[in-house]
Amino acid sequence: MRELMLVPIDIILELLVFFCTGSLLMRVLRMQAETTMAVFMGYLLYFVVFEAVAVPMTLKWVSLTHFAWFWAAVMAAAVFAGGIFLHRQWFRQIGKIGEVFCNHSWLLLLTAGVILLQCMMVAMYQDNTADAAHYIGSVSTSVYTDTLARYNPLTGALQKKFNIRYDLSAYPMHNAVWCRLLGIHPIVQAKIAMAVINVLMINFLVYQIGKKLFDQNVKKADLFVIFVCLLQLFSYSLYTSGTFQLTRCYEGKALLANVAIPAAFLASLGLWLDKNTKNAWVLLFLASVSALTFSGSSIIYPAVVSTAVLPVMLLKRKLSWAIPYALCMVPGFLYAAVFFTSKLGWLVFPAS
Amino acid sequence: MAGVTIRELGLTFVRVCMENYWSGCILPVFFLLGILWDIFYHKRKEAVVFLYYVIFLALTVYNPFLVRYIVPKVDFENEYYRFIWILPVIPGVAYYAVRLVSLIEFKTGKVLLAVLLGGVIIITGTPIPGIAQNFAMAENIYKVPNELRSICDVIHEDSKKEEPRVVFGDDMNMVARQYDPSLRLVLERNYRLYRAGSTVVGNYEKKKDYQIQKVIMDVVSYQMTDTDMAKFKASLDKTKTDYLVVQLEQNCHDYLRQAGCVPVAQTEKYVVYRYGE
Repeated sequence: MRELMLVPIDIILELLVFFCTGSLLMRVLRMQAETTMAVFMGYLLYFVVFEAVAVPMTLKWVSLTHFAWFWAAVMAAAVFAGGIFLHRQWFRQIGKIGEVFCNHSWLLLLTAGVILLQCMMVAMYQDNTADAAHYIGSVSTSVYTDTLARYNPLTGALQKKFNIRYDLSAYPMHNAVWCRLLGIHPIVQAKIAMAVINVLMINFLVYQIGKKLFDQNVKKADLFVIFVCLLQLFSYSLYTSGTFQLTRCYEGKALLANVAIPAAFLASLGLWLDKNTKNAWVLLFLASVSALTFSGSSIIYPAVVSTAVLPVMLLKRKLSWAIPYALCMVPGFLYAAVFFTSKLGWLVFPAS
Repeated sequence: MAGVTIRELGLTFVRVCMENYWSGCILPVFFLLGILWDIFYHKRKEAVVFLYYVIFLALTVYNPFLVRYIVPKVDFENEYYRFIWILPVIPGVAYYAVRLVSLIEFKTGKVLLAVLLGGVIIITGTPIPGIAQNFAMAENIYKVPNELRSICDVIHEDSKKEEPRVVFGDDMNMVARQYDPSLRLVLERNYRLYRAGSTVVGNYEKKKDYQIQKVIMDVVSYQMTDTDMAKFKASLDKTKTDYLVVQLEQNCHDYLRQAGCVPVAQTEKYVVYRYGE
């Protein structure tokens, strides 16, 4: 019963943090205020900052409790700053809710229903994948030992060195932090609360892609979300993004497939269609760093960035894009460099 | 991707990966038809993005010649399928479906066509088992078998140790530490998968630890009760096993008792044995 009550509290708090963070970012970028985009941008920015802070703390053997309370202070500051600087903007957005319903019409209800269905599916699905032993085990073990990834999640033994393939991606530690702060069980946090949030983010992103493809026509974007959901449900193989989204949404790989890579696609659309491409570059950079947070498989992300940028760069003859392109490639290459030097034994990060 | 190597397949590796990835689903056909529709009939600026994605990926990451020589060098054969995530087939098909619906002027026609297209997706697609078909509902909020919760309680009540070492004979091994990280698992996940025939977790045949754990797996997971008793007991001793959890329907219970395992509890489907003091 206690866990059941903690789940909605957890979801609401995390969404609040993402919304405040994203709204602040959009204000700095002078983007038009829009709720789903604010939450999504905040989600990416959250994980960018989390990765930058959590990885050094992990390597320095900071305890989970100390890190969790530090991170709580950071999140509280973001929410407080959002409240101070943006409350008027939020009141104006609330005042426009009627207009939103008029623009979307009944399709909004259908779209919301489809998204709610996906959330319920991931929350109630009985998962049995072998990979969960590692990803969730990492959260459980960190909470149990009050450390950040220092213990082997599969056996419980203290590791001699960090497993770079996994431990440089801080996403599981995000779950561990929330478990420590709220007292929620790691499985409930990762496989229910965070899985629901991830599904919401994926659908918000799909909605933004739809708006970009259909020139901000929100009804067509709603229909686009519904078709994408149907396609994800009916494109099964062990490897498809739909399978990962709906059966393994607690894994970083699922977020790479359904958040980080499609975010690059949205950025590519922005580069191709928009006159002012600043927001597209910010989105691409955030996606390329947050991809590292989600999964070590983001070693493929330089290919993702290149696909999103190079063809448009050639078609529009924008050689000046070489610098932002290179900046977006840096996170992936840095990760690859650390990964391979560690694999070769040139770089060792001791865990005990 | 299991069972698919560049050494065997050479230049056909990319095609085989694509076939395995889509596994009979014809979405890529719809995607390509949509692109052709764009090229020859209804040109739209935003749809060019799908075309340049296809061309760029075909020349680079999906180029069989490049893949043949580069992927083995970076040891990425098993994970190569993740590059297929870059190709925006699902957004592409959804985009063309919405455009088709938009061609109809009347609202009723739009609704009917949208429903028809949805039906085509469902009929031609492959439903995700456990989600879109025969939904697999979790037994409890922790998404673990109810029996595991009882077993963990029993072990902690019986054990004097804070972190008892436990052998789980079946897939409980994969979920036990997610639920209760105070349990130390004797059988390593990768060794279990390798013993079961997995080709993607590595080759542990020559590893001493694997050979020790294999003896235990042979008995509790594969019911090989002709395993040398002394060897089995030695493996339990070397791994400092405290408890074994074995399915009731297995036929190794007599063997385990003879090896000195004492049953301490029985649930609906499992017997919990204590080994040692």
